[in-house]
Amino acid sequence: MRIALSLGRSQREMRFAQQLGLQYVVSRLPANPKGYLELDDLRSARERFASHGLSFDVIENLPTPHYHKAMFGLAGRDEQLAHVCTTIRNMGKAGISVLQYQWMLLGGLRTEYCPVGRGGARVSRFDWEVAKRSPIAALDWRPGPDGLIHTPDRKLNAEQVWDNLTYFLERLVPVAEEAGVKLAAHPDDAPIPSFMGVARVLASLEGLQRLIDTVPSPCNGLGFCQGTIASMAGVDMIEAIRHFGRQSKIFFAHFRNPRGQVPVFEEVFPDEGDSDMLAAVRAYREVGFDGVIRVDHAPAMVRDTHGERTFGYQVGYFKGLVDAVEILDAEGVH
Amino acid sequence: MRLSLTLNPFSDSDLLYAQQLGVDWVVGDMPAWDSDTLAAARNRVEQSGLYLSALECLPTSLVTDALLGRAEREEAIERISRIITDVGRLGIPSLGYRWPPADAGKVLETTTGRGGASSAVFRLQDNEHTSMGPVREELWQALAHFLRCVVPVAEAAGVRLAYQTDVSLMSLPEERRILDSVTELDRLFQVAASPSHGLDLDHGFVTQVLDRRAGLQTGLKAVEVIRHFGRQKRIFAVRMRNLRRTASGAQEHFLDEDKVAILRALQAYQETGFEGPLCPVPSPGMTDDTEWRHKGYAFGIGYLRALLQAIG
Repeated sequence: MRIALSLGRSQREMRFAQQLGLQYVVSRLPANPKGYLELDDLRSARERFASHGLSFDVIENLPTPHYHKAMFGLAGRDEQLAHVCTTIRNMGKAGISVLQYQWMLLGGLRTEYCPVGRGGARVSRFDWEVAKRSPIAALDWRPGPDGLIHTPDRKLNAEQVWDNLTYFLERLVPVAEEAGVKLAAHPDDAPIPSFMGVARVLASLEGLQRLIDTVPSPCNGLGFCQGTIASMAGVDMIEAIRHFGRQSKIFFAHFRNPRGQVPVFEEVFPDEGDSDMLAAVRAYREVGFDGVIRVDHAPAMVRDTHGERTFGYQVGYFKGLVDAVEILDAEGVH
Repeated sequence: MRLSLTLNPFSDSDLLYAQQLGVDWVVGDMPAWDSDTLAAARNRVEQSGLYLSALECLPTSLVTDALLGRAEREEAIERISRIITDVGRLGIPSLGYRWPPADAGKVLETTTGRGGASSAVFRLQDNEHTSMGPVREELWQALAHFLRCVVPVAEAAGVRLAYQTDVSLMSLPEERRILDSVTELDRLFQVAASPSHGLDLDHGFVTQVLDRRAGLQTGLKAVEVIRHFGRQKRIFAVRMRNLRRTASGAQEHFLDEDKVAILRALQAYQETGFEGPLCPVPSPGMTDDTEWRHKGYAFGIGYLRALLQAIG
């Protein structure tokens, strides 16, 4: 298991990761007006991280303006997808092997950020009732820069969304196979089936399995966001690790442990959520997951301007679990 | 054992920080020792919903006077006794004393650790004593006198008095140094054989000083030291840090850099029934951290919490 943080390329961030003893990072590149990520930019990002002893193997995420027409099935999507193919080929050449993308047409959803966590830590919450009452307020981040998307009057049912997603996969997966790049779909967060009349098809384990089965390929799989999956109503996240891990469909993962499930959940510290994170680490090992797993967002802490306290805590906790499981399991203690 | 943070009990933001890190035991690093300050500290911590499980580091000048002073000696012992009584009256269960004072001479150099972190190298003189020597004998007599005065006070007050081990001791030359081996610490408890007298163990001291074959990365020998004092119920508090032997001293490393040894040590502390505070030492120093080392504490608490969870 390759523990990572999501980082920018400042000296401060990279040094922080090094001092925490990390060897892997995930990062994003800004949307490029050309519509694809350029080889030079990918290479220089990879080299910049490498110069600090950090391996940059996962892009998180494919910039939404590069494929929003494909998400909505709008005119011009073929041109966008041709550009995404260029991104994928460039990633292959640069040696960046995982591309995470998401299919949340209206973006992520949260309804509150409030200091109700442990010691007054500021936690993010989702409450479906609140989201229904004030939907615009629940749009946590928006997928695109232009006014074309997330207009509430554009309704799309599940099969329409599946059609668009299938169209996307059928065109990209063969290119990804050729380039040696894995396409990792992030589940819909918050995981509710529909929002403002637009279906969210990756909000259940069935949806994630359908994505995998739609275009079977070693390059078509998941960005396994533990937090999102754990907050799906009725889901046992650790069983889900086993289910998708056995199929080798976890290409990349997020380490997070919320409390509660849809309709209401909140993002607490990883040691106080509903799932047993030690059991999660054991499940990843059991299925032989050897990819990158990134420490995810957690509550905001007092005077933590750079987020280094909350991430430092999480890296310590996650490393401790992984180290302990390795040592104890090697001697057969379970 | 209980995860704890050492902090100034008058820092509201650090009390909050402790709660956010999920720590409910606090070890007080006191700015002053008069009874009003002690009471205010206890109340402040309690009002935050936390528990003041121990105070550390009685003023070292006072301890030095109590041991080495001539005219000041009895007065210093008297003042320490008053503090012990106050601490007991406030229901704070444990109090640490350190000697000699941690001084500037202890750090040989500061070097770069992982990722350019700031890592101290402590001076370590050989800890083999060939003879008692007059200075050491005199120190022992002074210490014995001190303990015979204050340990009964601690017993009466319901306070556990903990000698705080620290590698800075090893910057002293051999002829002026006591309490630097298992045998020496055993003698401490022969002099004052009370269940109210024990150790606040710096784990770096365990691996680098008490373990005569220090520098081993297996942690096995350190484990024997832990069992030795743990079985006698002498371990009142533990400060967890990772030191490695270098040619000239002992260098700070992050806990996870010797994960097997740290895990084995925690298992040993647990097996012996250690129930006191376990405090991470936030070292090496991370870049852009505060003076108190908030980031370093966050990482240390997270790491130790996971190990404790895993060993059950």
